[in-house]
Amino acid sequence: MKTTQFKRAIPLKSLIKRKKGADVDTFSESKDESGAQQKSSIEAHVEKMNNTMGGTSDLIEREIIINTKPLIKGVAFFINGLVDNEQVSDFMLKSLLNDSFDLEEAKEFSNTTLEHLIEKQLLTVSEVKMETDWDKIIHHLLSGNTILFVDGINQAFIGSTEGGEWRSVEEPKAEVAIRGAKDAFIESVFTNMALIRRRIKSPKMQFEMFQLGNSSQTDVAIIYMNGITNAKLVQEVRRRINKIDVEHLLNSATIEEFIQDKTLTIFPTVYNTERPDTAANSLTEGKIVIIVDGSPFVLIVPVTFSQFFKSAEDYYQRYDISTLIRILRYISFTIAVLGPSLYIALITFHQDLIPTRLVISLAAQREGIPFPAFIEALIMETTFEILREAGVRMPRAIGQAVSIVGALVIGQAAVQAGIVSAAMVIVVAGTAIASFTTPAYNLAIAGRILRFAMMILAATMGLYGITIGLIALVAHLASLRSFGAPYLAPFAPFIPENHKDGLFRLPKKIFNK
Amino acid sequence: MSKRMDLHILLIIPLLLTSCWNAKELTDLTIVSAVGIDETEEGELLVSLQVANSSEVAIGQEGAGRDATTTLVYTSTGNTLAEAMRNVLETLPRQVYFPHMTLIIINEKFAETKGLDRVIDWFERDSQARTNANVMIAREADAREVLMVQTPIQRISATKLTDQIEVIEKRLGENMVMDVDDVVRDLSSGGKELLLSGVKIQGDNKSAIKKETIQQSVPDALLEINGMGIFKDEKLIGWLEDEEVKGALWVLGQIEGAINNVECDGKKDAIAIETKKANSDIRSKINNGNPVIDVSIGQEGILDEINCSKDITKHKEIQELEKLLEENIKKIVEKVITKAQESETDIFGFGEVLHRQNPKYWKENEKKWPEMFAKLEVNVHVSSYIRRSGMRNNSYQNKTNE
Amino acid sequence: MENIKITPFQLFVLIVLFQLGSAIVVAPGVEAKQDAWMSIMLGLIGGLFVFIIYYHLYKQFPELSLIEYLPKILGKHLGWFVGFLYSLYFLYIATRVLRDFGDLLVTAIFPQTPLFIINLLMTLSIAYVIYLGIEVLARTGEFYFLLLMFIGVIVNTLFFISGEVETDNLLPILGEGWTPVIKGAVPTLLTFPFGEIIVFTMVFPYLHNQKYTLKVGLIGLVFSGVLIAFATMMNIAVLGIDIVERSSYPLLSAISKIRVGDFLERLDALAVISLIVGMFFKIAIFFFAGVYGATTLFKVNQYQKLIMPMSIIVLVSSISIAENFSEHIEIGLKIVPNYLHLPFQFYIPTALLMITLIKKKFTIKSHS
Repeated sequence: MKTTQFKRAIPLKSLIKRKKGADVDTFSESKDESGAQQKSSIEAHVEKMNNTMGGTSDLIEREIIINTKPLIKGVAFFINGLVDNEQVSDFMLKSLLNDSFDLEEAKEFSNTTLEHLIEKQLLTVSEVKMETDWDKIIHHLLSGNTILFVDGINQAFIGSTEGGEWRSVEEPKAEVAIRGAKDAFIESVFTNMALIRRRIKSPKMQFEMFQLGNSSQTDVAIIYMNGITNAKLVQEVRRRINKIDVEHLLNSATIEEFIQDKTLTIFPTVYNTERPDTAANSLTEGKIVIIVDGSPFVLIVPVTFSQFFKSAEDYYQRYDISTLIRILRYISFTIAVLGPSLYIALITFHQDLIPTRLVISLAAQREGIPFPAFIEALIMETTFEILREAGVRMPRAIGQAVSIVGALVIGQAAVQAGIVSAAMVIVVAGTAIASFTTPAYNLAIAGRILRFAMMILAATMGLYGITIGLIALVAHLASLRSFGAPYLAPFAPFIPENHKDGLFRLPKKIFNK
Repeated sequence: MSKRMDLHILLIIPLLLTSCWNAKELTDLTIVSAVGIDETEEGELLVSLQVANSSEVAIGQEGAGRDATTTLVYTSTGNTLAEAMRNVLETLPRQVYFPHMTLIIINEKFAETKGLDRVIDWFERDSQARTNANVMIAREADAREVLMVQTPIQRISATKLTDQIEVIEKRLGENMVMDVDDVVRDLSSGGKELLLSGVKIQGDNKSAIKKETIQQSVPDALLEINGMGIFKDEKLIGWLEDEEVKGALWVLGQIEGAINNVECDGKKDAIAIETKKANSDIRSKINNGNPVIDVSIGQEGILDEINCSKDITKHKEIQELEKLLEENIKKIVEKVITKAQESETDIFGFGEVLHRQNPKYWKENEKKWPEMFAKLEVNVHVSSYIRRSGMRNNSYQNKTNE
Repeated sequence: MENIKITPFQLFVLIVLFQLGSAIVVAPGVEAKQDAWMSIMLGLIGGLFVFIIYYHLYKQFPELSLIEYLPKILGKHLGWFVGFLYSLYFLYIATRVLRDFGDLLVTAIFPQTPLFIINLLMTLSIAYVIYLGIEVLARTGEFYFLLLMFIGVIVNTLFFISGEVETDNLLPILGEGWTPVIKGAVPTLLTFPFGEIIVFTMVFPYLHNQKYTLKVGLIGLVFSGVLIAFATMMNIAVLGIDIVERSSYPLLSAISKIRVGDFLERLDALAVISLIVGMFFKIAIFFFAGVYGATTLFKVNQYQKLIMPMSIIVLVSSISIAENFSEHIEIGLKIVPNYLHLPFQFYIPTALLMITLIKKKFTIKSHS
């Protein structure tokens, strides 16, 4: 059963807005005549439907004779695979075909029209709508609803029969938590909405639906808490979403690109998660969740830099442990960004800062290495990035082979052949492991890019270059905003109360004050 | 905006080209571990650089063989230290690199006749040299010879010596770590004279420069840190030997651990007491226009060895031992104070104490301090405490229990 | 003023970073030997007084910066001219600090790198941050303030743990009497670093909450003054006054003495990082004041437009300002305090305050 109770009024701006394309023209032409055509006969509707859809083979046309007295002709349309077949047969067709019904009697009883009777009495499907707008009819058809035309009625009945094959709710893959909830978002916007609703049973929680993408007509939902979420923020999100003008909207990443504040940055200013508990938690903090049909990752705005270091797990473990782990993540991110560059800076500029014994050991290792440290680091880091990319994209079975080859090539052969020093392998490996601790994948990527930038700075100006690079980096971060919220909060600007859940995770008792 | 970006990029490009200026690969450096300073017969400075042969030092490295000595010594001459340091490049394969230099050894004769002033400034001023390098005097040998000796276990003799002197300072109390800063401080102070440790070569220094020497269980030569040289102004004028150094260090409050023997039942040196903690407090006062110095030394220790039948389970006996120890320390201290007064060298920094505590009096008498020091009245007070007696109480030689 | 706003804490942070900027590395006030810290405290008291003068001036025109209200006090043309001088003064000091910084780095770390390259990198980053705005500078400041305090705590703890601190080095107190203490404080310490707070008259109008300005400013000054005094005391305690007096950068020398166990040593990097960060903020604030002043004077609609030319000017003149380090320092000690700092930090602001007060009295009288 698809939960449809969340459906609210659909803003149709995007529907009406369309301008170009052959299909579109037929729609708008037909619009004026649609009333007349429907009135004239059911064949007109069928023909129109077939014209619009261009005879695509997944469109099922089912002619029926409604079992009333007198019998009425009807035609049902639905898309094969998009609908829940059981629903169509049980609640749409079965009720029309099997239940015998005396029209005259019913008319006498309730004194209503035929269309009301069909809607109220005959169709046993959970939600029925009447529609005359052809665009909307097509939209409903393509969303997995069943369209029913009845002879003599110039409206289409739309029965909600959405269904078909969806991936079932599974365990989260990208954001694993040991003790957290084990459900993850799927590709269906309505399932995702339900996953959140189940966690917050509050009437304050509001859903708003949008259809985006001129031809894809993707369902997009924004969720917020009335009275908790800043109304201006909701307004701003609405404005930015309405401004989106694309042909196809296939993923939440597209929306992310359109609504983020500044495009010239490598840092993500929109958070994404596949965990309903994280999304629900964000809602209670006054953030806005955006769900896009077809994407198992929902977006959360506004977001601060520190959000990317939080993991759902933090809230399921003791606060002291969580705080320590969180600090560990910050340290790891720093290592991931600065590890190789600090090594380069120390080994090519500031040998005086390395303890004597270590410097002698390093010098012995580097004896005979043909490349300068920077080139060596660059080779190793690039090799590692290639290996990682290969490992991620490969089917799992081959992925293991990749890692074996990588470990042998990088770890063993390169050192034994005297092409890279063992210390460099340790640095690169340590950096790589540190980079895996960042819970947010998009921030980890930013870290990887920064690592290379820092390596260049370190190779040119040593520690001075790194320090200046860091100042510019912090300034850049400080200049970013996510839907008006300063990105570096609560550190800069320094907001003491937000530190309860920033670098630290204080006990819930303090939290809720 | 885009135009401005272009300009920025133009400005950034030269930055990427800077790497050639200051980047130095480890493989382009010779890491200097120690510097030795002698004098040639012509009066030029003879500088010896001890260089770590890193692939020989680092054990466990692939390709590290045992076919050369771990340290090499390069020498060169020059009229200034800076000149000599540059001249060494004529023989060295790579750029010299000083930040890891931990030891400066100065020829005894040079220190006696020419003094230190000619050779210290470079170590302080050069941005590569670090001022916490130890300074020592080569006794009865050239600095160069000391640096050439190969040492086992600690494979760089410079680190061996710096580690060794730290251990001596902590456990034996017969030498004191002096780095470049300390030397400069004492040389520039009017109220304190300099003390520097000496290094001796024990054994045959001709064969000790080969790597074979460290393949034996008894190397041909060992480096021994021994005694501290007394400086008057910048020149070496004499030496303090073991017991005397200890006395001086008691006054300076530099003792961190030491052994003192006291007599027992008429047996000389029958009980050994190990000092665990010590401090000294020097006070000055002016008595009838003459300065008087009070040195109070506090000591805490444990019994380390008892070769007599003393019943140390009795508190009274311990107190007696403490008294004996106090006298013992006092005797040592007074002996070295007399020795220093004879040569008019204030190695204890009494002048500085006076400066701190009676700045006015010091200002008036700063000029004639050495003479005043020679006649100075110094009172020494020692208070000792013996806290524990080790894993046994009475010695097996104690017969009282039978 | 657009809607850029600086919180009281950010102002505090900027003042502290600005004050510490170069003062903490060069150990000011060593003319007074062991009593340098007293000189610093004296200088601080003077600094507090001048800050009150600036504050009263600013209170007359709470929405305006110094260069904006100058014409209102001195009349259109004279005011513009004095404002122009101020703008030049700020840029000149930015240039001087940049030179200080570059020389330090060349001496201590990059002996083979041309000064130009080092200054270029610094100028670029400053231009970038100022381009992003004073608010971004303030936020960046907050972040680095925490970092510097962290480094400070660590370094001082290590000083004590490593046993390098010899409190005896701080004695005798007032061994030479008060004269050297006062000589050290006036005018050198009064003008550098405390009097340089004049530059904040250009930042005041950006404050979010005007009523905290005086309080935050004074707290910031006291905090930084105490820190500088403490740092100087530590330097002397670790190195001894003789070495502090003779070293170009005592803090660097002092930190290099830290040695805890066999592994915590050679921590110079910490000193260098604090130095780069501190200098960055100092130059950036002066540069901002200069650029912003010029924007007002020449009625440029966006201050961002002036950043590029101004940074090139500052960069080039930082190289050509003096032939060698000694000349640079000599100018800094002899000419700048007497002929630049004193007039711009004291004489002109005092005169301005007097004029406004007299004018006010006059208008009140004429009204009544």
